Amino acid sequence: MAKLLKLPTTFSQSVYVWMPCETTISEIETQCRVQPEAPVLVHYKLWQEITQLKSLEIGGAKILPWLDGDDSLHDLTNTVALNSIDLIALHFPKFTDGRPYTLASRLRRTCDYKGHLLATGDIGIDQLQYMERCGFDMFILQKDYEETEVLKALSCFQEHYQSLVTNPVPLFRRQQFA
Amino acid sequence: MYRYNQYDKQFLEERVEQFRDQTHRFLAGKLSEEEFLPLRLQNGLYIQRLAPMLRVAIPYGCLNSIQLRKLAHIARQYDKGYGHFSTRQNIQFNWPTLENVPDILHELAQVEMHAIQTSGNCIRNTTTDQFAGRAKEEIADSRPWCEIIRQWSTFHPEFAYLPRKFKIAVCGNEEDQAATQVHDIGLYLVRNLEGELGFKVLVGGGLGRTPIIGQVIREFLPWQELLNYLEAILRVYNADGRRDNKYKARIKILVKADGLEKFSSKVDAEWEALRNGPGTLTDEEVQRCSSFFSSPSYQDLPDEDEALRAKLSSDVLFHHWYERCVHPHKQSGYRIVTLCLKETGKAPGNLTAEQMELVANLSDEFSFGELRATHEQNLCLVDVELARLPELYTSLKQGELATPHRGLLNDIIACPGGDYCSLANAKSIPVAEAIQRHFNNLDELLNIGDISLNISGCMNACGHHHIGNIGILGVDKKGREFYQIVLGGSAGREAAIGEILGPSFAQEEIPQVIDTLIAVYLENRSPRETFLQTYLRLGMTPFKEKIYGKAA
Repeated sequence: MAKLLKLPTTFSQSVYVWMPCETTISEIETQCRVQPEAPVLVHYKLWQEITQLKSLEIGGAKILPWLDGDDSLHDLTNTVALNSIDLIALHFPKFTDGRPYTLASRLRRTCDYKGHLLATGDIGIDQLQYMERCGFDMFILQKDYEETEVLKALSCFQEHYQSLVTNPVPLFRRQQFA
Repeated sequence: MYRYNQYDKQFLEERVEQFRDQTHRFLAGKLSEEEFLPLRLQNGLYIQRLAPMLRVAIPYGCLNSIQLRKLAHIARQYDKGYGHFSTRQNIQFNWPTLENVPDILHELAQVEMHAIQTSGNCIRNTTTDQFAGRAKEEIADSRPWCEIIRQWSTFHPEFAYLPRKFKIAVCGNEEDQAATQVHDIGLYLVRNLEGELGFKVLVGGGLGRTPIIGQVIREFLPWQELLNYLEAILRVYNADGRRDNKYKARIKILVKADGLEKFSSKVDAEWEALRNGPGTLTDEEVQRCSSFFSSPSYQDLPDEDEALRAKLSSDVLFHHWYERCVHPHKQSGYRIVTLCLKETGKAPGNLTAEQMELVANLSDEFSFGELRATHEQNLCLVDVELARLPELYTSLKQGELATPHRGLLNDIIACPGGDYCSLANAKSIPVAEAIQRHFNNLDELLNIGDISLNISGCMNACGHHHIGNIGILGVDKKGREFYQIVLGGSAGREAAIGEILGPSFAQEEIPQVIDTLIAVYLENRSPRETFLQTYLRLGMTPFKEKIYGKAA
């Protein structure tokens, strides 16, 4: 069973339901009826359709948008006030597809998005720290990891040379040399 | 040379532990082959034809004697007693075992070395001209900028899973020996009309299947904005570069598809958001990085020497070596010396552990303990006293490192090829050796003069065949190894991609083919004209006709 990791480090059973691009509105409605406590992640185009028609909920279940590397942020930012959305999921079809890192950076830094960024899809613990540094704060882990393993992976590196989402001041502006 | 501070050291220690854990999990079956692949690649580890290959970074080619001794130790302890210097100023070991790699990385970390991002779809080792900081004609020393880029690109969280590998070269020398224009990003240090320092930025160069010379995306980038601008380019590439086809995934394909104008406007949009932000470089940081590259304590020496002059007129081999392997230096009484790693019968760029130790000792004795690795797969001692050249020459001769071949036909650039690499279509090393054996007369080589001959075992072009005056490419012809010839490539400020001569040849035909090409040049050259100049003047036709006969 997939686990949800929420920073700073709380673990729980994941209740989020990720639905693929080709999902229909009626399938979403069915899902919401069956499991009203589980927020549903739908592709942002469909999400825009639903939220324009109705609201951010169907029968008590939250409807939240996801994007992947094929999607343009402009489409989203042109139509909604980003900070009205609690959570945006960024999907990794393959862990080697690095586009969501840039999506996350742009959402955080260029668009100043303050809500949660959830990583979904093919993600392993070896990618967690880089994701966190690009602005992700929630992760759905498909494999069964020990919590200690996950925490270790998240804290591999204490420092960073670059300007990050989590700390925009690069090392060269902070370092004190012995 | 740059010295690690407590942060740099900590990064390496953390990286070694991270990779030790990942290797352990892989061997225990907790990480799949597919999951482990990019992790090991980003630590320089390939699985090759015969054994894993570990590529160790030599950041922008700078190396000290302590590090070279450690490399000798690793060659002996974990390998078969030698290492291979690559065209990207790195060193490769061909025989380590996977289980040993974390220990090797740990040993490297003791001398401030690593294999971080020497492979994989990430930002690779930044390269530069081997004469940086020593050349007579220099706009600015490129090394501090390379170090700044090294730090920025190391563990950059956004750019670890790019569509494909990404290579940056920086050049501050008038003569570009770093093949800057065939990099994903090429940076030339320049001064504007006000005398301020900045970069001319090229983008979208590269070799491989689609060789392209980079295009100028910005004539003058103020140095303060270097990292912001690089970040902007990388961000556009990471978001928009193709991921559906490995062979179309390099930034050069994106730049070509978008067109320079559109690509550049996308970069500008990203840059706008980053400009003057926290990534902007400061005077303090540039001064800090530059302070590591200040000149060693040179003596006040005359720029001539009586004994040297006598040696030059009495020892003809020494004279040739001096002409080919000794280069001008900005400091009076000093010279840069190239150690040509192209002794006939040895794989180009290979050095044994004993030779590494000898070179380390010589660098301590003659050159303040520092060395450079070059794009041509040679090594340099960059601060040798003029008067001590005869003494150095004698020591180099003992180590078979005094071949006067630098820049001659036998100074061949070659990838490891089919003998080691599982990607290769054909072998490179025996071809290089056959050519070296065919042209074994030094007078003849000197008569041919300046020329570059580059060999790649496959389309991936690690031997940079496209930018050799003569390039040789291994191809697979119905399961047999054949070789295609390209002519007219060059790597410097006037970089050019070579053109294909015609149908390919069998391995045993290659020395004769090269011989014929050289004969055409020698017959047709004007006084003091190099092979490349003659080729550019005459074009392909006379070479082609001589090789394949006149078209009917």
